Amino acid sequence: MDPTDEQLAARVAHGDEQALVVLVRRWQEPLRRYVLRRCWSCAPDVDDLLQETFVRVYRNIHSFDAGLRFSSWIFRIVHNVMVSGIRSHARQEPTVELDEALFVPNGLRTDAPLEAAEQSTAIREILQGLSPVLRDVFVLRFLEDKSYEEIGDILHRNANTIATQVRRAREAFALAARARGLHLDRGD
Amino acid sequence: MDHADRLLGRIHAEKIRPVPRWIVLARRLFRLGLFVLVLVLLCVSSALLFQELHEHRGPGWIARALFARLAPWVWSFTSVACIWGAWLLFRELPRAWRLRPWIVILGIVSTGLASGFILERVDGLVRVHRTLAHLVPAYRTVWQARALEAWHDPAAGRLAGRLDTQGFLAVDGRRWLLVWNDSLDLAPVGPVRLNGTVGPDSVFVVRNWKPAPGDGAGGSLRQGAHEGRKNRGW
Repeated sequence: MDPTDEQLAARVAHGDEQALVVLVRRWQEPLRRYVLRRCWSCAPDVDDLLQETFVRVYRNIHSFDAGLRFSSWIFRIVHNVMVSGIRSHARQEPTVELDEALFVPNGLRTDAPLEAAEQSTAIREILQGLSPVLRDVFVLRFLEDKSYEEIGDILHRNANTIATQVRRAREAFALAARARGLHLDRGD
Repeated sequence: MDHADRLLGRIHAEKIRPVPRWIVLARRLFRLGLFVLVLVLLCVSSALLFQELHEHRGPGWIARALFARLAPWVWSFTSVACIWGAWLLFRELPRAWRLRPWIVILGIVSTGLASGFILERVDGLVRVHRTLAHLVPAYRTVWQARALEAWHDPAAGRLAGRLDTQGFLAVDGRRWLLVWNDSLDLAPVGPVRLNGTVGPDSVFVVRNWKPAPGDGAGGSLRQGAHEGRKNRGW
């Protein structure tokens, strides 16, 4: 049975570099997806952002709170690194091709058969129209499928506040999406 | 791209080490200590605010000396700043974000104001003043003189000073002829505060009196003329 993230983190804290390797390999793809979904202008530097994230994870491994899920903690770190990245990449368009599937929210259905690329572009444009706060919660809730508590632990906000922001993000997204023939089935 | 090998290479090349556990704990304790300190400051500032309001209550209290005018606002501002500081620091405590913000702010405000109010009601600050005054005579002189100056405002019916063989010498050096209310058959010695009405030719009709701050029975700031009979002995 594979060790849990929390067990691996405890081993890293005791100086086990192999545990760090396992953690990095386990989390590099989920984190890459999250960065690209939330900050597409960061795409050219996504590897540097992830490297910086993993360095911070290693450096601050003793700060990991065992009362939190490791996934929330590492998402918090990558979120902070990404926010710094967003500031330096503001108003830049990505120069690399992005996987269209990255931008399809869970429960999304379309009235009109759209090409995947068109759909992805439409969703990206809608997300771009949301405020950063609503975009954060939308990506975490509908693209990363995180619970309110997990989103709260990642963004350091109360779960009730997150629930309200998810509702607002969903309404804002639905309003813009309806005009493009896209609908969210989920009732969150 | 596999980040694991690149990360290990960087860790070895740059000799990156995890921040020691004791530093992490020290930081957390420092934040917690800072939060408690700000909460205590909030408690003291609100106690001082209540004290100022209490001391200068009555008609025209806001229009007295500069110190008396500004003090309540200074301590109000300090209290608000402490509430804000406590909120910011609380958010840095582990998992503090899980609590609803309005509950945290309400908790900070009610804790600070309630403890400040209680501290003022039980004369906690005066006890600190008295202790300091006992230990440091110079502190007593400065504190009492300042409190008496703040109190003194003849136009508002408030005199601060002391009785001597020639009458009443106010803290501003002016002499007054006191006319005592019949029920106040007292001859206070030492510095006192008088409430009453200014008459012609430096006559002051005394309605009631208080000992100087820290000189009352038990050192209370709130000892007043209505409790004067208890104070005859001092």
